[in-house]
Amino acid sequence: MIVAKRKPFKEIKESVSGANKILILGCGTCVAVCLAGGEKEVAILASQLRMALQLENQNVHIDELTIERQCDREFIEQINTSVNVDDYDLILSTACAAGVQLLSDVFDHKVVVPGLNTTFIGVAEGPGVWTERCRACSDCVLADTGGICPVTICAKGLLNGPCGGARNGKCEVDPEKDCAWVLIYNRLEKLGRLDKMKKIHAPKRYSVQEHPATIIHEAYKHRYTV
Amino acid sequence: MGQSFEEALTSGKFLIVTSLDPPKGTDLEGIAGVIGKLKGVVNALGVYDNPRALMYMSPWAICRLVIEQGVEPIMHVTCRDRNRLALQSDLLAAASIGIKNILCVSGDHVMFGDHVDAKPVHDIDSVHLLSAAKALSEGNDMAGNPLKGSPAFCLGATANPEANPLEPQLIKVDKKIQVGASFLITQPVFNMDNLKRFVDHVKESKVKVIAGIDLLVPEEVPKYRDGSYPGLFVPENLLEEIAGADIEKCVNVAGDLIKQIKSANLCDGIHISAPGHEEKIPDILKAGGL
Amino acid sequence: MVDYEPRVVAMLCNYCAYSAADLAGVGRLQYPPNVRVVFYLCTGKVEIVHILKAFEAGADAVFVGG
Repeated sequence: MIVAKRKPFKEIKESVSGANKILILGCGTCVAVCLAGGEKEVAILASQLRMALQLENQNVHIDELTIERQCDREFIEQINTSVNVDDYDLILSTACAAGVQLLSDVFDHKVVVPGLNTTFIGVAEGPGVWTERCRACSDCVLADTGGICPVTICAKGLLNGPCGGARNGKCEVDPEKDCAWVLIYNRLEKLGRLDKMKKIHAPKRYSVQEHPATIIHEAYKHRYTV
Repeated sequence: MGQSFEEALTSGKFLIVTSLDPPKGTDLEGIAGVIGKLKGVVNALGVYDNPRALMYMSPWAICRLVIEQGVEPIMHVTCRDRNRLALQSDLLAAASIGIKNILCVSGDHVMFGDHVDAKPVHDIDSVHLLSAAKALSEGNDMAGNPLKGSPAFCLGATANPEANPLEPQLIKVDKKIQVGASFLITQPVFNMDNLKRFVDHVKESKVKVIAGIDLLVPEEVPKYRDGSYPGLFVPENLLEEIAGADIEKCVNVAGDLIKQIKSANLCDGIHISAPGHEEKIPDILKAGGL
Repeated sequence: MVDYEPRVVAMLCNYCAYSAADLAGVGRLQYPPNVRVVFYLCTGKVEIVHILKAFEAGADAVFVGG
């Protein structure tokens, strides 16, 4: 899932300055699971903002709403069943940046600002801990690397083995983090597949990473092609 | 020096190389003086490419100065700062000004340097860079396009015999040799058993191993210990010996390592790293019995 | 500010702090009226937003007893 973290409060406060009616819009999917932008986090942010603005004698009205998903038009369009978007000067979205952008597209006459910094695609390691696992490189190498991604886990994204900096199996960049290539070596050895590591991996094909990328499912192609 | 570095590599004689940091700024006077002092002392003079991600002058310019002073340079090239287009362009440019020896490295991470917000490029890794340089030597770029005039590089790579675990390093070194490295300059070594294990592994190939010797100095001990120098793994007993030692003692410690390497006939040469103390290199060699 | 009497919201757990307050009441001990007690079945259920809401509503301090 997508993991995000809240922007510094000061930055959020600055980005909403000048607005008299604000809607804080949460997202109930990834960012709710990673405790960054779901209903509870919206309530906390709203309360903090209200107090901070009141302390400066600013009369700002803040409403809260959380929808299931902000990365899907169907869900965004349902907002108007709960609130009238035109009542607000500004929407502060606590979705990932994809959600913020779609929201901004749907309500392109409204100022939409982000409350989060979208950080990575990752997994939940345990309560309150998430780690990055994928860089969305569009050219997955996991079959050859024992299910451990060097593009993501190696600080340099090396494809053919470790650099010379790993210290006792830990990354030169951060002694708290494992060296991806030591992990890969150990996993492949355990699986009896070290030959996969001995193979020379060609340079990454950045051409397969279309930016911005679009995927149209085969079954829907007829809809979108003339 | 009649013999080229490439010829010296195959001649079987014990090689002495060192590498210098390029200047930070345009003043070449200091480095020209250092190059002058090392002429005749070393077989080749390496020039680092933004070592530890600290921004310095591009190494090709210093390599040119090295050539002008009658010494053969080894240009370090890091994958951290340039993508494959820029790397190949720079290799061609280097060849055009007479640089033949190229040391292909991944590069220390950006976070160690003085531009921590820079984007770490790492478009290709050191294995890819070696094969790209090899391809250029063979008349093609990485994409297979023919070149009009091609360089004749002597390619080197790095490895760390002190790495723990060593096996993943060895797998990578094998790849570096496979794609065309004819010499290896190791990270600083301290433990002869580790070096022997490493050398035994690559013995089958024709690759020449140049062992890294670091001049350890007391003022840097905390940094050696805390990992500020990536790839430099100094054993604790040596750190204790160095802490509080004077420079002569430090020179002797480095000299002892050279003696151990020489007496066990472990490898084909040494690479002395003595940043800021280059003037001590002749003394280190003397202490090492060379 | 000698007359300053902070308004305190006390979030109390049924099994300890609230029972203690209850017991104090049985013992006819008094506590000042500027403490407002909120009963929790367990203070593990106290959410950050509850505390923020208390402040937003004008509390000067929040006491969590559990």
